[in-house]
Amino acid sequence: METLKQIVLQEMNEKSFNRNHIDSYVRQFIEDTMPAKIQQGVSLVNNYLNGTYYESKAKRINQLVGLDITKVVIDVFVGIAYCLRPQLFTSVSAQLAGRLHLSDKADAIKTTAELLAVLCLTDVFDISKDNKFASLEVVSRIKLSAKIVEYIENSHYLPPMICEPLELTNNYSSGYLTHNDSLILGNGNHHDGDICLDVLNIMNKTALRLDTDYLCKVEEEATFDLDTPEKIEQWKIFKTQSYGIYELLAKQGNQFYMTHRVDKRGRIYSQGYHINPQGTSFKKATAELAYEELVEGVPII
Amino acid sequence: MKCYSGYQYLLIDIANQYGLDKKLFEERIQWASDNLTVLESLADQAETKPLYMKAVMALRKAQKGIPTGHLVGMDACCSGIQIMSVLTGCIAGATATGLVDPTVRADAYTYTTKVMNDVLGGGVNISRKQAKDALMTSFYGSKAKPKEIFGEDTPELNAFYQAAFTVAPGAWELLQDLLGTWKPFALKHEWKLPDGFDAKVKVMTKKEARIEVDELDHATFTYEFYENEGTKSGLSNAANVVHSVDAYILRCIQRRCNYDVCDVQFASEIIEAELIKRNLGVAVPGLDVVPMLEYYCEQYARSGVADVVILPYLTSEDMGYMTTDHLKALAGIVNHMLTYKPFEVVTVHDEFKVHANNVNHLRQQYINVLAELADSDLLSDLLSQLHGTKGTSKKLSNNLGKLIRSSEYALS
Repeated sequence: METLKQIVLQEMNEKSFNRNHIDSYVRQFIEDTMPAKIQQGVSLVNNYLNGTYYESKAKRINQLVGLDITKVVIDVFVGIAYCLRPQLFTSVSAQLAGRLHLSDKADAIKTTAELLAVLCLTDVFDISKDNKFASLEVVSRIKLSAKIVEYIENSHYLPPMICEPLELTNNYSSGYLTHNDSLILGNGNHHDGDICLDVLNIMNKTALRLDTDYLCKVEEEATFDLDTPEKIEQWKIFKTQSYGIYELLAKQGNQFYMTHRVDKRGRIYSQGYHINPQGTSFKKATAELAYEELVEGVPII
Repeated sequence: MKCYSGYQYLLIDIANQYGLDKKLFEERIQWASDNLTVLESLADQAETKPLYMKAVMALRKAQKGIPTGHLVGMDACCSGIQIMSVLTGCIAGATATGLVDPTVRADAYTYTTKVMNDVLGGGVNISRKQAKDALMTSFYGSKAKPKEIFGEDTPELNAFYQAAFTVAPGAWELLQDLLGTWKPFALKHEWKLPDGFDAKVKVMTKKEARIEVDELDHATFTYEFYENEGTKSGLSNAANVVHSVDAYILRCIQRRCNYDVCDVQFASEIIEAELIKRNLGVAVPGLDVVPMLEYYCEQYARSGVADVVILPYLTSEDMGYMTTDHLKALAGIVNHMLTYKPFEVVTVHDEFKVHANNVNHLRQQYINVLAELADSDLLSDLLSQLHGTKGTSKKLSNNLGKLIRSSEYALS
């Protein structure tokens, strides 16, 4: 039986792990502590927009005219704040194009890359490369509060829900209490046709638990070779985060629900990163049904 | 279907994770029983160590009389080829994927390996892994992978194609049919499944752009993205259609195993009452129906496959709208569902995981669904939708459903 406590805890989890919420904390922090940088950014972008360019570039940039430049600058800074460690310039450009609601096509990426280059002069972030042959990388220089850094570190994927997911009634929903999303995986695949929500609802309602005895006895091991320092570091972070989530769920009653989405063909995927019954063998082994039953037919010794 | 106890399924699970999933169920039970006291010490030799250890821990709990939520997973036997064989009524392919001979734990990849080695006359030794990697991809239209594994214009490559056709001729023919559904330069392919699911697959073309950033000292980088752009030809319909059917099967299993008792009981009663009325000639034809019922009746009319997705929308007033065949098909499914309590299923595409006590019913429902699909004309429906014109696809046999109903290793 669900209690109010579980619903409140679920809301707290979403506020701690959901990027939409974390974005709002970062945005508030930037607006409160970096007004001069924002102003500098706005004037740099305005200069960029007012420049004289060859025809195709002028036409491309013209698409930005009319946008709220202050909002654009803040959106870029919010996106950059997530680059706690160096990230590829290419992927940051692509992510920011999404944040600015531009397309994922080459022109939009080029414009976003130019905006990044222009805004780099604010010193809010650095664009650099290790050596002549390396790829360009972006790293934030924003001095966020420790709490926000912790939120960002945890923002990779929402943990499973600890109260029963909300009933899905349309293709733009999630089951989570505070955000909606397309239930169809893959960019550009969303539609309002029939995706058999009845089955997603059945699967969302399956209560699971972590086998804590197993977690105490068996240690999670990497499923790939730890043959570079980067891989070792990544694995360490992932493992630490995973055990953090196991502990969190165990403390919150050790009963949880996976939410599910479909791909364009109808295959169903549980949405989980640190905990996922569709994940690695270890991840599969840790999750079991919350409703426990005696196994029938055990010989009496 | 032969049934086992929950305890025996735990033993089967342990043997599966150890790496003995190609053995008969009895052999797996025997192996785990023989090693009952030393199972923990065998963990390092297990094929899937984390799941092996989990299964052993669940067994120990069960032995102590402690309730458990442990999930026992059963995999579809070579899922892609299995489904393609069902759709085409191919007994050879069905035999190779556990749907025919109840005394054999079939494995299409092992059969292919054997046929290849026979064709090659023992001079070359083809491994199961090579045959598996080539077979899995080639049944979805890849020519590159078999070539990469066996070389170009080699006796091994010829033997592979000969073996693939021998092991699953229906799947092989279906592959060609599905490849032929590609609409040149169409922006998307779409089709509906029997429960109404809309598969909508856009044709995405990979593009690469060299981007130069003037403001960054003319630094350049390559950016890859996808554009919704039609192409003259394409292979992806083969895998996409088969995956849409495996997703449909999964939905059937979820609906039939984890059902609402009140809904299903009510549906069972009103369907039975309506069928009795029709027998007596006192049924009233339905005129006005709720839109959802009409929608699901359309799915049945198009696909010929009855699906319990319709149950929550059934009312005694609307029964007259449904055909007798539809009602009879639903009655068969619903009455079987009610023979067992509802239970939860955790799924990973072609892997179905349930509490050990519920594995018998899961296996039976999977057999039922595949048998019904083998009896149906689903393939004609799918191909008609993809071609945009009504047509009939001839099946290789008409009795596969019956054979499947006597099978043991559809899930293993």
